Amino acid sequence: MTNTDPRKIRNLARILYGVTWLAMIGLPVTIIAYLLTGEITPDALRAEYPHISLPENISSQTFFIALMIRAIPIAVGLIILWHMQKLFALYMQGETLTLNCTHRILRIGQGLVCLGIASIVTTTAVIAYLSLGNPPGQRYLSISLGDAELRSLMAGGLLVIIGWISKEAARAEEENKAFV
Amino acid sequence: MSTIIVRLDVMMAMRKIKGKELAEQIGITEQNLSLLKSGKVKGIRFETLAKICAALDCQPGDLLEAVPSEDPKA
Repeated sequence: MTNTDPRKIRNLARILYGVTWLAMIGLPVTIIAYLLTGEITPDALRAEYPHISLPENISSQTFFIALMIRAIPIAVGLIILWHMQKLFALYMQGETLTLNCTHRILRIGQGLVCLGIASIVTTTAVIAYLSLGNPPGQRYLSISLGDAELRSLMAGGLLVIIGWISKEAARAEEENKAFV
Repeated sequence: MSTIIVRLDVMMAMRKIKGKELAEQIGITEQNLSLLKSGKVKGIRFETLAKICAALDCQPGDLLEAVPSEDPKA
C-alpha cells in the first residue's frame, strides 16, 4: 500500500479552501442581489409550490416570515462551509490525522444531517404558514423527502461515522507518537 | 506499583558512545533519544530496544529497571 503524497493533500486542500471562501461570500451576496433586484417575490415563492393552492394575496409580513424560515437551511449551509474551510486550512498546514481535524469532520457530518432535516422541516413549515391564509379545509401540512434531502442525510451520516472512526485513529496516532 | 527507570545514559557512558552516534546507529532522532534517556516517553518499541541492545551490546535488563514507586497516600 502506498501513502498519499502530502503535497497532493495540501494542493487540493488549498483549492478547496479557496472554493469554500468563494461559496461563503457568494451565497449571501447572491441572495441579497436576488432580494435587491426583486427576483424574490410572493409570486416567485408561489411558483415554487405549484401543487399547493396558496392565498391570492400574500402580505409582506407573511412573505418576510416565510423567507426567514427558508433562510434556516442556508444558515446551516454556511456553518457547514465554515467548518469545511477550517478543515481545509488544517490540511493545508499538513495536519491530517489529529483530533482537531476529526472534530471538524464530525461537525460537517452533523451539519449535513441538520441540513437534510432543516430542508424537510422548513419546506413543511413554509407551506403550512403560507396556507394559513386559506379558508379552513384548504390549509396544507405537506412533508416531502426529495433527492437532495436524502443525499444530505446519507452524506452527513457517513461523515459522522468517518468522524468517529477518525477520532479513534487520531488517538492511536497520538499514542504512537509518544513511543520511541 | 513500580516505575520503569531508563538506564540508557549509564550504559552509554560505560560503552563510551555519544548520543549522536547512537541515534544514527539505531535510526532515531537525537531529540527522541534524549527523551528516552530522560524517561519522558510513554513507551519504547521492541524494534528500538533491540537496536539499542545490539548497538550497546547489552540486554534489555541493563537498560530498564523497575523500582517501587512511592505511595502518594503515604
